[in-house]
Amino acid sequence: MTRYRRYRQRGALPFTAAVLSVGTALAWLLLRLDSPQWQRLLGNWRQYYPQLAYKRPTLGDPLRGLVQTVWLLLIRPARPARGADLSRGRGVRWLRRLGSGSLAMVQRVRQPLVQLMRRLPRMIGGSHALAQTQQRIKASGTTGERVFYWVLAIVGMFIALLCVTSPFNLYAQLIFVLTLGGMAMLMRYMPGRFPTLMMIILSITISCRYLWWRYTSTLHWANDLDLILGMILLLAETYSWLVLILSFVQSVWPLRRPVKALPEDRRLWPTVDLVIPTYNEDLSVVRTTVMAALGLDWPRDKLTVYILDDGARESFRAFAKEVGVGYIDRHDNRGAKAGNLNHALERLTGDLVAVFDCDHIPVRAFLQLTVGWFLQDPKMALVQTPHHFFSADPFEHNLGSFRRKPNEGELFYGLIQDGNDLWNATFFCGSCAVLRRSALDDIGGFATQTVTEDAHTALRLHRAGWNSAYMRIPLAAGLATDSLAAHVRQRIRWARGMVQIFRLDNPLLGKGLSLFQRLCYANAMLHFLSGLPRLIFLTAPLAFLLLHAYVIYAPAVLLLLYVLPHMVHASLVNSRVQGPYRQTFWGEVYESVLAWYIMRPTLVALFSPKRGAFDVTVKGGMNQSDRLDWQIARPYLVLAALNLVGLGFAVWRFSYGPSNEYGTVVVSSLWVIYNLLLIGAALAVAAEVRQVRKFQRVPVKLPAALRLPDGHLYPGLLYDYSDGGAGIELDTERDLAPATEVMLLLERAGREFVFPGKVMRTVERQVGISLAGLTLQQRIDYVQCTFARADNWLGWSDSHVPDRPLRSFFDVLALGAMGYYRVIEYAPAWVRWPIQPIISASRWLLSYFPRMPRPLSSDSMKSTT
Amino acid sequence: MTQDDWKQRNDDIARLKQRLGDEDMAYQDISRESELLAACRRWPLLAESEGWSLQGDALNTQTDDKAQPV
Amino acid sequence: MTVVALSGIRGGTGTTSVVAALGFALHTLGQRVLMVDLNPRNLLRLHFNLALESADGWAVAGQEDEARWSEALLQVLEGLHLLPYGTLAANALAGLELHQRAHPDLWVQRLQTLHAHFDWILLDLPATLADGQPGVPMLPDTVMRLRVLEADAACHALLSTEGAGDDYLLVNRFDPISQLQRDLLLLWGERHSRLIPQVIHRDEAMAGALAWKSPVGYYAPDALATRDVRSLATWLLAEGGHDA
Repeated sequence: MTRYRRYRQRGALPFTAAVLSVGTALAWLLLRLDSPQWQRLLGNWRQYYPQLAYKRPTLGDPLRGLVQTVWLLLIRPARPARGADLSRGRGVRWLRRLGSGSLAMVQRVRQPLVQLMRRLPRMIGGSHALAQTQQRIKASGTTGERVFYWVLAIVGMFIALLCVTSPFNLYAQLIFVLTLGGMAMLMRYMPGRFPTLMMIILSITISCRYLWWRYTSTLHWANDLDLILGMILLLAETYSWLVLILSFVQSVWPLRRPVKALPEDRRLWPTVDLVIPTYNEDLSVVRTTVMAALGLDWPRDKLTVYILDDGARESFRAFAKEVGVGYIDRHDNRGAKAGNLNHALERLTGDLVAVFDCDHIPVRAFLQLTVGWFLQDPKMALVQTPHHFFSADPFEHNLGSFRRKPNEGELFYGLIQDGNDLWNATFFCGSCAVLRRSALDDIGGFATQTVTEDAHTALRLHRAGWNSAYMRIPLAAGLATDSLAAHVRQRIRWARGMVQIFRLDNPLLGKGLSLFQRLCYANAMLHFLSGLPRLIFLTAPLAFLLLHAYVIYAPAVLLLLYVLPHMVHASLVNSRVQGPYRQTFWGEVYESVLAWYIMRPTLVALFSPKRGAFDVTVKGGMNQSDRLDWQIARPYLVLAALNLVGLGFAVWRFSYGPSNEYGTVVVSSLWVIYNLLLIGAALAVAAEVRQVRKFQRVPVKLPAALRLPDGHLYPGLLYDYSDGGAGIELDTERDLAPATEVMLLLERAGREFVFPGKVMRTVERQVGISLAGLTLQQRIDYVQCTFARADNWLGWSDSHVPDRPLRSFFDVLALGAMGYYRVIEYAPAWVRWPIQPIISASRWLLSYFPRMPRPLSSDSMKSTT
Repeated sequence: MTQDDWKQRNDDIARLKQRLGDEDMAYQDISRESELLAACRRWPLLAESEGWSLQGDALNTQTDDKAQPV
Repeated sequence: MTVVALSGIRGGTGTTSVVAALGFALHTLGQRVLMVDLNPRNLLRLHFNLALESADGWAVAGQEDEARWSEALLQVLEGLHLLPYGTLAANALAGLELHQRAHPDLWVQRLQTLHAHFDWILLDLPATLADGQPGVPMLPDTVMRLRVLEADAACHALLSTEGAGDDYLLVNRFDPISQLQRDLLLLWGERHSRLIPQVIHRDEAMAGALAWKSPVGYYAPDALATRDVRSLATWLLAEGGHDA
C-alpha cells in the first residue's frame, strides 16, 4: 500500500500505480531483491535508468527497464562512475573479436603505406637521382632547359587531354576512377604543397572528364523537353566547374605575407587620416571605435581621426568635439559610403587613409603592423586586413557553431584574400584597411558607380598599376550581422554590386590587369552568381521524377561512376586546402540559404546594372522572441514541399514504373534526399535563436582584480567584457550584494587601470559588473584594456574543431534533419496538429531506447562500497 | 596557469609577437610614451627629475588640459 | 642559500609586513626560510603571534655570551624560522652598536653558520641603509638588496637625489586609483631597470595581517596582496635562483 501511495505521489494514474505496485510485489516474491547486488542496483536506480528517473510512472516502464537492463548487460558497462567505455561491454567485446581479424589485416596494409606517404616528400626531395637530373637539365643551358620543360608540358597536356576525352566503358571507367581515387587518398597523407598541387591536378582531370562526358554523351537530342532541361542543368554544372577551377587558381598558393618593419626613426613614418564613415548607426557603436582609434600606437602628431557622419547628427558632432576628433558631415547622401569618403577626402591631408566601419574596433597595433609595406613599396596603394567578428553571425548563433567551426567569412579572409595576394589582386573590403592617398587621387577617389564601392575601388587601383597587400592578421573586430534577414540583405548588396562591376567595368576586359588579376576578380564576381545554379541543382532531380524528363541521358551506374569521383576529389582537395577556413560541405549550406535571395538581384544587375538602390546593413539589436523567420524560410518551404512531392513520385515510379528505370529512380531519390537535407539546413538557419544581451560580450581570459568598498582587493579572471560591463571570476566565492560599488582593476602591458562599477549579479564565483559611469578618459582606457589589446583576436580560431570531410558531411545532413524538426516545432497549430501524432508516436517509441547511465554521485558511491 | 603566464597574459605586445612568431619584431609602445609625457606635464616634480626646465619647449608646445591631480 | 636584505627607502613603507609575507610565501613554495629581524624596534615577531611583552631575540641572547645569539631562533612552521631582534634597554643597545662597530663582519660570519640550513634568509633592516649607520651591520657582497618604497613623491624625490644603486626596487601599497601612483610607476618602470615587475597592491588585508598577528598569506589567503607576494616569491626564485 505504501508502494501504491509512492507511485501516486510521483504522478501515476490510479490504475497504473496499482499495476506497478502489484508487479513490484511479485518481483519481491520471485527475485531475491534483498541480496546486496540487487540492493546496490535499486539504491542507484535513477543513475542506471535515467529515462525513468524523473518521469511519471506509466505502464510502459517495465518494458523500458527491461530494454535498458539488457542493453546495460550486453553493451555498456554498468559502472557509470568510470565513464562510458565502449570496449567494456560484453557484446561489443564479442563483436570486436569477430571483426578484429579483418580490421587488423586492413591496418597492416594501411599503416606502412601511410607512413611511407608521410616520408615520401622528404625522400624525393633528398634523393640523389633527382639532384642529378636537375643538374643535368641545368647543364644543358637555357635553351635545353626550356625545350625540356616545353616537351614535358606538351606531353602532360596530351596525357591530360587523353584522360579527359577518351571514352571508357563501364569497367574501364571504374578502374580509371579507382586508380585516381587511390592516388588522391594516398597523397592526402603527404605533407607539403606539392602533393596539394598533385591532388588539384587529379581533381581537375576528373572534373574535366566528367564535364566532357556530360557534353558528349548525356544529352538527349531526340526529345525537346529533355534537351532543354538537360542543357539548363548542364550550364549550371559548367558554371560550378568554372568556379571550382578558378577557386583552385585563387587558393593554390596563399602568400602569408609577413609584417614589414617600420624604420626606427619616427620622423620617417607617414601621416595617417583615420576615417570612420557612419550613416545611421548608434552613437554607442561608433564611440567604442573612436576610442580605440584614439589609442592606436602611432605618433599623435601624425594621426588624425575623423567621424564622417552621413546622417549629420548633432549628438555625433558633440561627441566628436568632446573627445577631440574631427567631424565631417554632409547634407546629401549621394554616392552613399563612397560619396561620403570622397567628400571627406577633399579635407584630408595625410599620406595614408585608414578606413574603419563604425563598428570595427581596431587594436592598437593596427597601423604599426600594416604601414610598413607602404614605405617598402612606393606603388603600394592598399593594405587590407581581415574583418573579424566577435559576435556570432546568424549562421553561428542559429546553429550553435560559434567559435567551434570557421564562420562564413573565414574562407575569404583566411584563404582567398591570401591567395589573391599572390597575384597582387587583394580586394579592398571597405573597412579595416589602409590606402595611399596619392593612389586614391590618381583614380579619382573611391568608385561610386556600384553598390560595392570597395571592390570596385581596388579594381581601379589595380588597373592603374598600383599594388596591394593583404595582412592575414586580425587587427580589428566588430559585430556580425545579428539576424538572418540583415545578413541576407548585406549579401544581396554585395552580390548586386559585384555583378554590377562585372557589367560596368568587366575585369576580364579593359587594360591594366594581369591575367591572374583578371581571373581572381572574375571568380569573385562569378561566385555571387551562384544563386540560379544552386536552385537548379536543388530542383534538377524533379525533372525526371515529376516530368519524366531525362536531364542526364545515361545509365544510372555510369552517372554515379562519373559524378561521385568528381565530387569526392573536389571535396578532398577542398578539405585539404580550405579545411581550416571552411569545413567541407558547409559552403553548400551557406550557398543554399542565400541562393533564392541573391538570384533575382544578381540577374537584375546582370541585365540592367544601373538599377537598384544602396542598402546599408542594419546591425545591433535583439530578436524579440524565439522564432522562425518565416519570411526568409518561405521559398525553402516551397522547395522542400516540391522535393517531398518528388519523393512521393519516386515511390510511385518505383512501384509502377518500368523496371529499367529503377536505377534512375534510386539515383534521383538519393539526390532529392540530399537536396531535402540541404534545404533543411537552410531552414535550420532560419530558426532564429534568441539573443538576450544588449551588448555583445566578448569571452576572454585575462587577469583582473576587484576592489570592494571596504578596501579589500580580490584577484580573479576576467571572463568576458562588453561595451557596458564585464564579468570577473574571483578566485574564491564572495558574497556581494547587487548594486555594491566596486572597482575593477585591469592591466595592460605593465600599466594598471581602475574602473568604477556596480555589481549586477553574483553566481558562485562569477561577478557581473556594470560599468555605466565612466569618465571619458576611463572609457578610453577601458576600451584600450579590452577591445584594443594587440593580441586580442589572434587566438580566436584555436577552438575550431579540425575538418574531417566525412564527419562534416554527416553534420550537414543532421543539420538538415534538425531544420525540419524546428520548422514543425515553430509551425502554427494547424500545421502542427496533423503532424503532432507522428512526432508523439516517434517520441514514444524512442523512449524505449536505452540510455547512457548517469555518473554516480560520490557520496552514493561511498554508501555502497 | 603559472605566475609567469599570469604576468605574460597582460603584455599584449609580447603576446602579439609570440603569436606572429617574430619575437624580435620592432614595436614602439607609443601610448606608453605619451602617457609618460603626460605624467611629466602633470607633475612638476616629475618633470624636474626628468631634467625638463619649466620654461622649456616641452611644456609650452604640448599643453595638456587633462592634467588633473587626483 | 640566498640572503635577501629588505629595507625601506624611507621609514614606514611597510617593509616588516613584506618580510613576513614574503617569508611565508617562499615557505609555501617549499623553501626553507629564515627571517631575521635586524630592526631594533623588533616588530617582525608580531607577525608570528609572539606576545607583545616577549623580549627574546638574538640581541638579548648574545648579550652575555656572544656564541648564544642563535638560541633565540624560533621555528614558526616546519621549514619556516624566525630570529627576532629582542628588546634591549637603551644602554644595552648602545653597547651592541659599539660591539658591532668593533666587529664589522659579525653578521657575515653569522650568516655563514646559518648557510647550510636554509634556502632563503630574509633580513628585515631599518629604513636607512648607508654603511656605517648606527645599528646597521655590514653584510656580505652577495646579499641581494631589495628596497621597499611607496609610489609617492617623497620616494621619488629620494630616488632622484640619492639613487638606489644596484638595489632592486619593490613598490608596496600600490593603489592604481591614484593618478600620481600610476604615473610614478610608469616613470620608474622606464627609468629604473631594477624595478621589480611585480608590485604589492594597497590592500586592507595587508594592514589587517599585523593586527591579526600573522603574515598576510596566512591571514587572507585569497587577497590580492597575497597573490602579489606569491608572484614576488616566484620572481625571486627565478631571479635570485639557486638550486634548491
